Amino acid sequence: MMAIKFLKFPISAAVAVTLCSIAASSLAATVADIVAGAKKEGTVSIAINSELGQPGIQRLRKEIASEFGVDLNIRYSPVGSYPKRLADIITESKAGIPASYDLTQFSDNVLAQARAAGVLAPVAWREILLPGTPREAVYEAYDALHLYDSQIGMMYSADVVKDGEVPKSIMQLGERKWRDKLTAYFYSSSYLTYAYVLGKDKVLTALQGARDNNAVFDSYSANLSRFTSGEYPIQLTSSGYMSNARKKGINAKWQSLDFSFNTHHAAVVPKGARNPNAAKLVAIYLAGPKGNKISQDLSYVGNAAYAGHVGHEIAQGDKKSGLKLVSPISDPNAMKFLLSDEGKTLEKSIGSIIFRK
Amino acid sequence: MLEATREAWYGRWLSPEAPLYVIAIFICAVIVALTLVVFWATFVEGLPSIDAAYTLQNYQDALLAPSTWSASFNSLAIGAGTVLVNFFFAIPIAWFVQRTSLSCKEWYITLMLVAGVIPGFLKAIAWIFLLSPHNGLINQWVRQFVDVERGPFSIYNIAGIAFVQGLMLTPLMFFMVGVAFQKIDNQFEEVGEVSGANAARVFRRITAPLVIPAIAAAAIYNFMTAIAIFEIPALLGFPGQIYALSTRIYQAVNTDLGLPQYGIAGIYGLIMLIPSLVMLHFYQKMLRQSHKYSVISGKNYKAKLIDIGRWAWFGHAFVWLFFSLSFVLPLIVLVWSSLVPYIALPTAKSFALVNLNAYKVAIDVFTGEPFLNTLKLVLVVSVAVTVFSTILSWVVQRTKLPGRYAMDTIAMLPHSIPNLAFAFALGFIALLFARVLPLYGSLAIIMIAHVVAYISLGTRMVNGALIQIHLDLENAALVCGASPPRVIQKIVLPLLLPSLAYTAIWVALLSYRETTMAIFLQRPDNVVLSSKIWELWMGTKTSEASAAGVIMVATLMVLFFVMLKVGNRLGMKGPNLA
Repeated sequence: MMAIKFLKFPISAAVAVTLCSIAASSLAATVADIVAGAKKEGTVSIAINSELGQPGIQRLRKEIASEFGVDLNIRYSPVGSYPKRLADIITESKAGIPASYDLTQFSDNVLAQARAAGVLAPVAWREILLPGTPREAVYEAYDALHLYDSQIGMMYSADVVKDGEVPKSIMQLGERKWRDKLTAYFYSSSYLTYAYVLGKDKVLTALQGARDNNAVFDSYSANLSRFTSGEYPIQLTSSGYMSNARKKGINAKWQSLDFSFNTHHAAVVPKGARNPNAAKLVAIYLAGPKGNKISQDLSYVGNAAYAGHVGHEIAQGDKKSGLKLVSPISDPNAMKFLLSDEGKTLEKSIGSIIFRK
Repeated sequence: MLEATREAWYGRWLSPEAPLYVIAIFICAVIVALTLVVFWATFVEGLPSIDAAYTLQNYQDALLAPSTWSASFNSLAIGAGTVLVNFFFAIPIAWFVQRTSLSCKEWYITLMLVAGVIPGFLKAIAWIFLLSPHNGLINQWVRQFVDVERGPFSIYNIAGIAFVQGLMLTPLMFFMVGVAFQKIDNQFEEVGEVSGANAARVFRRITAPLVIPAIAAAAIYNFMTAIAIFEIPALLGFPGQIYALSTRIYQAVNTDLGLPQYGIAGIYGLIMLIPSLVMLHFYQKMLRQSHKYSVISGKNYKAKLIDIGRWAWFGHAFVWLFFSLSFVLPLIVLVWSSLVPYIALPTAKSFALVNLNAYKVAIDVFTGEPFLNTLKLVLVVSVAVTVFSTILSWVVQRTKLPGRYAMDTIAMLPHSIPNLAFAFALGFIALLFARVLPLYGSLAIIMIAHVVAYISLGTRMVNGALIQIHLDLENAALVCGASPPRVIQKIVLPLLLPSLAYTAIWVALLSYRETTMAIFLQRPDNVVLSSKIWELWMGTKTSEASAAGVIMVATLMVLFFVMLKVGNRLGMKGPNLA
């Protein structure tokens, strides 16, 4: 009996070790399968991060070739409007033809809409994460893999606006001193998060105030040009654009409004993608530490879990200031609100103010 | 006798008009089909598909919104203002260059072509640099003398939009009107002078009426172009909270409010159709009287230049005023913004940032697949538009076949409805047949979109040339025993060749520069240069986009100058349009 008792431990340990080896080799085999599949496919079409550009893609291609021995022909297009990109995927899926792009990205509520439309290929991202990739990068509910996140808030020209004067709340956008000085993004759904936290009446009042102050509502990039030319010294924008402005030599600073607002942008593989393995390989590389470095260096955004980019600094600074972190995709109640009928009605009202409808 | 001669030929040969008629019907059928898809989408709930539900909600949302009517009014005002600016510059310059002894004509014609190459959004930015109420250079200078916090001038209003668009579209009116001036037989004017009329009266009673079809055609065409332009109202309208129908269409398709609203975009497009159809009606009436305006006939024909003597200085000054506002200034802005990492006024600080890094990226853009795609695109589109336009115009002008005036109206439809709407319609049809026809996502779909879009310009150019060739020339040849194909080969084509060449050149230029349809229909296999440059611009890579623009302008300048030199040696002058 004693012999059996003593034997149990070594037998259990042996079984455990064997099981772990099998699991480890399965994990390794899965990434290896993807690499082998990507080699056969040889090409991939991606519509992601609009700021990455050809230099970013060339670097991505070189690093993937060096790391995995796969020289992928990467055909890149900026993702552009998320709703339009989703509409293309839905119409292609309905027509029964392969998706035009093997890999694309969405954020927050568009991700949820894509999932609800049933056009995303289910991918076991967690099984194929590269070493060093945080496990929180996987959004299992949306079949998506976190590529980068950005803070939303107020960028200002420190040469023109004093630190103490800059708005700290969205309610201050209607203050007279900001008349003809403010630009803001025109993505109505992004204001829903402000409504979720502060209440819809406050947000509608704030946006109407900004409108009455002749605020220019346009895309992030168009407003950045207005900011860098010195025309408009304060801009409600995404943190990557502040990094962009700083890189160009502008003395730009940041102030989060009301709370630390964080949005996540995640990669998805549409159903019917022609080159799914190559798509997954690109996604897991970009989500990993080395791929994130490419995003940080060339498009000024990255995963907040990795240090070294302005979004991370802002998030840390907001934490020290005691601002509450709000990230819709991580908050089921926030996502519920964004996708609810109330949210959609509010979004229309916001759109009416922004576009003067 | 003439009719008998024609009938004899048509009896002996298969009528040469029959195949042309069939092709013309086919072209019109494609245009009508696309228009019907745009119309159909306005009744669809959500994204268009074969099994979509139908609704009138789109009409309710669009037509009952006050913003739709304010945008419509803004579009009309912008269109009218644009045409006024065109009249101010294009008609006098066309007269100076084509009817007078003014020197440097070839240079001016080249510069007119090149002025059309610079993308509209860069012209808008040049004027923002000058007249932005906050830090525009002119306003900064004026504020030294006037005590105001902002302004006093602003480019962010309807007049500003009309002014910049007017500068942008003047070259087109210049070409449309220019050759009409050129082909006037000065015997008409000499008769007036001999009868005692002074120069002003001769111009008012004789010269001007002869070019009215060309002026009217140009005004109609440019008005329809002006109300469809998107990038200039977006850049200059948003800061002033001014929205036009074109910006509303863009917002509907690129909305952040749920999925794209193609139905509402289609309704905005149909609203634009109304003023266009009204003007087309008047234009068609004039076309039916076209025989009054033919100036090239069987009689001796000579266009003698008017000696303006000391007034040449005024001519040169006026031409250079236009080029300074339309070409020199935007080119300076283009070069400047290609040398600095972000758009900024020229200051000591920004001069210190000057570098050539953007050109490395720009040169990459001009090599590889997008460049080859663009070459194929402009070649195929320019030839196809020229051939199809000639066929359509021939049927309209030279036959008595039923429905020919309706065909001319249909040919103008693509110009009455925004390009984005046609691009969507074409994309949808291609998707519908994607399993049997590999059109969706291919370069061919952009080619078809461009051919459909530019048929209207092509038919105006060829119509105008045919109007000016009197039937006497062809009839005389027929009576002498020449077959209809031989008449076309020996008489009509040589007279038409300059206009056909200019049609091809102008369409190639527009196709090269066109961005809206190329972006909308873009998939991995059909990326072209214009969409690559637009991507750079929208991706905040303004210096790289500007560098690509500089390369584009420089190469086209050389190309146009060489083509004009060759054209002159072959005796080709310029296009005429109606």
